This record gives sequence, C-alpha cells and structure tokens, in this order.
Amino acid sequence: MATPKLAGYTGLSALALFLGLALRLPELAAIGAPFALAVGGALLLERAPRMNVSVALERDRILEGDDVELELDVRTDTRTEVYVALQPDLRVDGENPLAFERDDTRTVRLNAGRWGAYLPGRVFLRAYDRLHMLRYEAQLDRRTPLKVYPRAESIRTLPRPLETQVFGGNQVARAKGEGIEFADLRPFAPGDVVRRVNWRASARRGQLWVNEYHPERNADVILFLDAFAEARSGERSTLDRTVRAASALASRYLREKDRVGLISFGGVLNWLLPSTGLAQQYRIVDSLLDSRIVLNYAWRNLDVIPRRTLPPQALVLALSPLLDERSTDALLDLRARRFDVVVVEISPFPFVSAGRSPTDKVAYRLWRLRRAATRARYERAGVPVAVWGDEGSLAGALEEVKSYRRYARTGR
Amino acid sequence: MVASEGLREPFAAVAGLSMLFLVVGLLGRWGPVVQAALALAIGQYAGYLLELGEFDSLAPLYAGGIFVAGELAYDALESRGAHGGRVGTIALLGLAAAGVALLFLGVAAASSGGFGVEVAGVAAAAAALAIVARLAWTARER
Repeated sequence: MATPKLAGYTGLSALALFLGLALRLPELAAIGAPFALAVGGALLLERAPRMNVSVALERDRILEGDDVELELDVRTDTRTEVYVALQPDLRVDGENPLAFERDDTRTVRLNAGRWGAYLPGRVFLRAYDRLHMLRYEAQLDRRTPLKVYPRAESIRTLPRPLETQVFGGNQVARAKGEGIEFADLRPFAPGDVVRRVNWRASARRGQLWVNEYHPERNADVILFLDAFAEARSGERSTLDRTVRAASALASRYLREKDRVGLISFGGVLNWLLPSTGLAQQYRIVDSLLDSRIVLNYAWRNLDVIPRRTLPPQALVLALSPLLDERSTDALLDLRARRFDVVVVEISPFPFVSAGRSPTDKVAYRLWRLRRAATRARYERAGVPVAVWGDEGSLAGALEEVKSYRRYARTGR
Repeated sequence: MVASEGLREPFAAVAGLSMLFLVVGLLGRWGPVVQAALALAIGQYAGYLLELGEFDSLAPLYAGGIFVAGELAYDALESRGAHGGRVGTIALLGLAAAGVALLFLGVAAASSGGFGVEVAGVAAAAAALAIVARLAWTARER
C-alpha cells in the first residue's frame, strides 16, 4: 500500500519539473530530481517483507485483577510494529504497539480488570520499506482463550436446605439413622446394636433404651441468577456482584459435598444440571463467565426450565436485583410448588441516584416503595429476602437468611 | 534568500503561509496540508529565482534542505516519533538529495541545452504523471 509520502513526493517532483520546464529554470528541475529519484527507487526496489507472529499465554485461567504474560514471537526481516488488539476489560501494562527490528520474542503483561471469557491474540502488523514510501500491513488471528474467574466473596455460614437427599454429605438430615447428631430416644428393639444403648435412660426407666441419631446427608442447591436486568454505574454493576456471589456460594456448597446446579434466568436462558465435585465447580464458573444481560421483552415462566434442573426438595438460592417482575413471579411460582426458596437481593441503590428534579425524586421514592412491596410479597409466601448492598457483606446478608429461617415457622 | 525591497513582503507572506501550513499539517496529521506547505516553499523559490534573474549556485543546498524537510514531515505523520537511526538516515538522504541536485545541474550546464534537454524534461514530467496516475488507480481499486 502506498503511503501519503509516495503520492506527496510524486506531486512535488511533478510540480518542480513542470515549473522548471515552464519557466526555463533548471534549478527547479534540480529541486524535483531527488523527489523523483526517491519515488522511482521505492517502486523499483519494492519487496514485500516477511512478517509472522505466534502468540502464547502464560496461563489460560486467572483470577480477576491478576496479571498474565502474553508472549509474542515475531519473525520479520524489517522494522515491524506489532499491535495486540484486546477487549475493553483487558489492558496492556506497558507499550502497545511494540516495535521489532528483527526476529525476536517479547512478552506483554495483560491485566484483567473484570471476570469474563476473553480471546486475546488478534495481532496487527505494520512495516515500511526503507524510504517509508510503501506500507505493508497484515492482520493475523492468533486468538487464544483466557478465562478470568471472579474473585469470590468471603462467606462464613451457608443457608442450610430444609430437606436433604439420600447420599452422604455434611448436612444434618431430619430423618433418623446412623450419624453423630443426637436425635431421640426409643425403646430397645431386637436388632439394635448394644453400643447405641443409653445406659443412663435405661437405668432410670428400668428397661433398655437406645439413642437415635440424625444422619449426615447431602443436599441439592440450585443457584438462580436473575439476568433480566442490571443496574450499572461505570464499570460496577449488580451483575458483577451476582456472579461473584454465585461463584463463592457454588464453591462452598460443593466443598460441603452438596449437589449444585445453576439457572441463569433472563433474556438468554442457561442452566446446568446439579452435580458434585471439582469438575462441576469449573462448569459453573465457566457458565458464569458467559453471563450477560440480554434485553428481552418476552414473558418467561418456569415451563422453559427442564425438570431435571430443579430436583424436588432442592434449596433454590436466588440472586436478584429485583428489577424485573418476571423473575419475581418465577420465584413465587417455585415457592408455590413447595420448593425451598431463599432470595439474596443484590441492591441496585449504590448504582442509582435519586435525580435532581422533584419529579425524579418522587419517581425514585415510588420505585423504592414498589421494591418494598415486592419484598413483602416474598415474605408473605415464606421466602426470606436478605439485602446485600454497599454497607454490608455477602456473609452478613446470609446471616440474615439464617436468622429468619431459625425463627420462621415454615408451613409444609 | 534575499529579495529586492518590493518583493520582500510577498516572499515573507508566502514563507509564513508555508510555515503555517506545515505546523497545522503536522499538528493535525494532515498529509495534504504538509504537501501544500512544501509546494508553497517550491513556489516561493521559483518566485525568488525569477526575481534573481541569474543562476543560483545554492540550488543544491536548497534541494537538500527541502528534501530533509519533506522526510522529517512525513516521518512525523507516519510514525509516533522518529527513532535515532531514522534521523541519521534522513540526514544522509538530505546529503544525497543535494548531491543529486548538484549532479543534475552539472549535467544541465554541460549539455548544449535546446531540444535534448527539452525532451528529457518532458519525459521526466510524463513519468511523474504516469506514477501519479498509477497510484490513483491503485488507491481506487483498494
């Protein structure tokens, strides 16, 4: 590709030569001669340079806020500028573009400001001929996946499901069986083992009584993400908090040997069947990386969710900013179907201001009142709602859920 | 360049305009404005030669100077800053340009002039036009 310099020099040499001819001044032609010679030389000596680059990432998974090195191995026989195109939340810590004089390998430090799935590695190359009359450009697709995981929020205690499942875990079940948590006393029956005899109770009653225990079982937990709408202020948003909370909760429940599933209920519906183990944790976090708000005005109800995603007696832990009626109706529908539902409200107030005009202020107050009414609807249905805003932590919000469930009487 | 009393002001105006165009073109990174600045400089020199009325022995120096100005200006437009090696190259190119101009003038002075020189001049101008046309055609195709 010709640079503006080539056209400019051609024009100047033509001007000087024409003026020299027209005015019969050889000095002007002498002015134009070097320009003409430069243009002719550049065109005659034109040769496309050799340019190639390969890209390698130091790691393909990092945490939010961490740095990772991107290695550029450039093969070239002339001075080449290399520019690495990146998505907005991924920044280069240093120079970009880089200049390479010959074959060389250099590293660029990338900083991931936000969680997500990225594809760094689209590279733009530019080189010039010796006289900078001709420009050679190339765009190479060397994209390689980079997953930036959200930094997990700290959690002290988890909301406990009301019902457990049949496999071994860390939850104390309501049923009686083999375990270590004392449940009850009953009279000795043939077949009971001697070590379960409660000798003190037996002595008091004059006949053998045995201890009964609560077994430890696992539970099913479904993380329900409200992805219809978000409140955003600059780079911070309710969706970021939702994803961080979901990642932390999934990690903790999976560590307790519970089965964890995921439903992202919004413009785009995503779900993961409940499962256990480290593989499930990676599946959940990878699914969270794809979370984004997609505006959609279609009405959605629970029928669009596959049945196996919502096993009976599962704890449905919803993370929602309570901005859209559709998710509220879906959660109340779940409660009506006798699911154990808990709502953690990701407060949008830190991202929204009241406005200046009196009309804006009235609208803001009405909006807050509507939100309070929505919370009251949940509480009438027996669904605890804990608010997580700027003032508190996620751990504090979960403690509120725990104390609500301790004192509430659940009608079954 | 020293001009007669009556032409000093017009020459100064053209020189000032050329400088202004150069500064504006470099600040705004506009190639055509930079080219206009260099064309004005050549035009001003043409006016000076007409006013002088005799052969200017400093023409090669002026050729080298305007070539260096062109190189530096276009280098500033294309890249984010000239690196050390490039400045040295430009200085050498300026000397080479002055040498080419000197050689050209020497050949022109040694030749008998007349029809041969006319033909060479017309051929050079035609070649320059052909290059411009080819560049325009190539740019349109892209």
